[in-house]
Amino acid sequence: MSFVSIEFCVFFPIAFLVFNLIPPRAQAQAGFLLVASVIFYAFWDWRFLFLMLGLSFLHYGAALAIDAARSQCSRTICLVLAVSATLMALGFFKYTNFLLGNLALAAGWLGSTASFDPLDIVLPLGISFHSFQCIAYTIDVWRKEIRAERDPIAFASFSLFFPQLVAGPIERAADLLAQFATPIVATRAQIERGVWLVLLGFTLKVVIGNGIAPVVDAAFSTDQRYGWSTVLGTFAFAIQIYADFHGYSLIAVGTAAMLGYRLSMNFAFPYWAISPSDFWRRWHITLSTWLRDYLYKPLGGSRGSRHRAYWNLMIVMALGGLWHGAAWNFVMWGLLHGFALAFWRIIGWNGDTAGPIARSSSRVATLLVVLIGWFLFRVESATQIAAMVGALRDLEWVPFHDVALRAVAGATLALAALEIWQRRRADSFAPPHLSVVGRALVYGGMGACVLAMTLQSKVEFIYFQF
Amino acid sequence: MRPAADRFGVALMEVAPGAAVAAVLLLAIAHLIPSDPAGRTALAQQSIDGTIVRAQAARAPSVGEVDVLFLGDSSVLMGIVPAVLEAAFPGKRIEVLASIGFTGPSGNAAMLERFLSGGGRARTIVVGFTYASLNHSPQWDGWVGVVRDPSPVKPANVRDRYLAPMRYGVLGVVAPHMLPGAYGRAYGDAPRVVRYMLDHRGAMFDPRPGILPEDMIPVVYETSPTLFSGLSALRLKLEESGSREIFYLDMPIPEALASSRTRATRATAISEVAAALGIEIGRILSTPETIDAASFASTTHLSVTGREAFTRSLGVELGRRAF
Repeated sequence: MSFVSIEFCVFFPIAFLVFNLIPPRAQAQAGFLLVASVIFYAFWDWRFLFLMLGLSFLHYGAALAIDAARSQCSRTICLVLAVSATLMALGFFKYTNFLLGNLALAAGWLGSTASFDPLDIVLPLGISFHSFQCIAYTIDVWRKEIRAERDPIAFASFSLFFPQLVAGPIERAADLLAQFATPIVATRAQIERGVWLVLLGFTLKVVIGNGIAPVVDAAFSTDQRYGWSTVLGTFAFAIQIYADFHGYSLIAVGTAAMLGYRLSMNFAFPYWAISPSDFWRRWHITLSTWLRDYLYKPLGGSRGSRHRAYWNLMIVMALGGLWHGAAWNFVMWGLLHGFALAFWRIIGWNGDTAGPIARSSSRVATLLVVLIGWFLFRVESATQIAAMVGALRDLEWVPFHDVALRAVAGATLALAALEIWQRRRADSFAPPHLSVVGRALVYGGMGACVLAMTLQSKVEFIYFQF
Repeated sequence: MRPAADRFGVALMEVAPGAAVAAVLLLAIAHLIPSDPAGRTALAQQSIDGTIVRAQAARAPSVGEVDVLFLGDSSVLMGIVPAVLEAAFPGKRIEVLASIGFTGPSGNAAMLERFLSGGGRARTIVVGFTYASLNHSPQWDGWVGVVRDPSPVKPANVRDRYLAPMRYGVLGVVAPHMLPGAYGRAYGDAPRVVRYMLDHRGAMFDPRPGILPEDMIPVVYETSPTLFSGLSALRLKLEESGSREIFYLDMPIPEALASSRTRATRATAISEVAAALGIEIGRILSTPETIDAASFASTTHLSVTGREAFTRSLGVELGRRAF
């Protein structure tokens, strides 16, 4: 089920009540959370539950086998088998049609009449996030950074934990699995923080993300012929994807906090980044650290020659792009970021020593890279890229641009004001220090906005498709 | 207090006061916004057709004295550029009160009545229709009521009543309610359509990219019995208007959709319509019957460039006849 649904508004209070009523014993709590997670996932499609559970128990067993193996070779075989099986499942569901499409294209170029018709495959919700979390766990056990979990219920609860099941944050076993080993009783501070994060997440997602979505949809069209629509649409999408995914992540962290569990923050004011590497320390943090620890470093990271390091960056970012979606535009998006990361290294950028003008210039250049990246990320076809880039020749201002500019400016000001306030605080994501009346007014205002936006047709979380 | 009850209490105290304030806020806004004369809330909830008809009907009483007034359907609304005519006839005031074909001649009679009731006077009136509007259906008659009373639509249910003012009124700035398709890509939301019409003497443009292949069907001019009852009503209003010059304008069709049957049926249909309006054959404006299909946004609406070229040719004809 989606966080932004009536079902979740019924499901979560019940889950919260029952979780607090059961005896505070680790096994009972893990068992209840597993049941709750299964119900949560089954609301989307119960058939894929078996796949998710199967993958979870594959890694549970593989980790135990790695732990029990006597030789490094046996440990590695277990790891390779588990990771390969997971990547094959991910590859089948996510990349089969991409592969077939490209084979058909290549066959066409070569004059072949071979048929590569796409298959009717449904991408299981959350499989990309779930796979990465499970792979990270098994690799951590193989690296002997953690011990294999012996309790299957605790492990299944960790791998299927409903707040972060479908779109992250991608948690490490050392952080989250350990929490399932001890009884959890949420503190007053955790509940207060959780309510604030959930409300903030809903406001970002529903009011700003969903609110600006129609502007993005109108601008990103093969039929649109105005240059300003390309420009404003790209700005609007930058706001939409941030509000949408950051909002989702806050709801995930908030619901977990209300139950007493800690999840990682996925965003740290990314549009304030002063360089591409700074951007990736702030955007989808749990994915970028995953890519760093489980892909970039194993490839050699920055340890070899400079050229090798740049090559590694490009590979990692291209694969990161492909992880987002099985299409060439995502690969181009990843390569753009890989190129930008390499370029900032080549020019020897150092944020700590740079002067104010250099920092400002780098900030603007980074934002430009990010925006071009979002354009590539959002387009749906090469035809659309050609149409929208071609439209830049016509800079006629039509009434839609008034509407788009107003929405972009309004959302930017709202987000900037929020983030300036947050950045000045010691704990950016703590609830505001207000009297009961003040808090009621702030929460009430946000709640009213969220409720009013339910009149708009449903806009699914962008990252659900990945 | 037991820990579990304590935790429920904390959660409740975090949520309940805010929920109460949210409810009060929504109620308060719901009772303030409907008095908004711009009717933004209602506008956001209606279709492009409803927006156009209400916008024209709402402004009709305040148009005042004009040199040329255009009535008719959307082919006129989106086929005439008043600025081009005003440039051709310096000092003359041109206004468009045409709306959509669904309003029919009766709706145009009601529109003219609203124009006259506000003290409006037109030296010349041009009534124009395209072929599709002549085959009038009685099912369209509900639109006449919208012309007579263009006040905003009332909320359909309680949810709309209390949430729409906040959604479309307060949050409409950052969360626009976009029109669908090409209209959204060009105009954005309904209030922008209204603003555009106000800024362009009641005219607007069709932003669609061109005629779809499946719409390339030869045109036949057909009239329906209900059309003529509406034309009688419009004729009475035209006579009441006191305008010295009244012309009929047959809007052009795409060249590719014209056949010999089109030409034969056209001649009969427009002479019957003009006669029903009390307009002599000689007062049917001589404008191009067909124009290259590339100059059209749809089968009945000229494109942005097509309407400018057509308006220039209309200006020549009007200059010969009216000025």
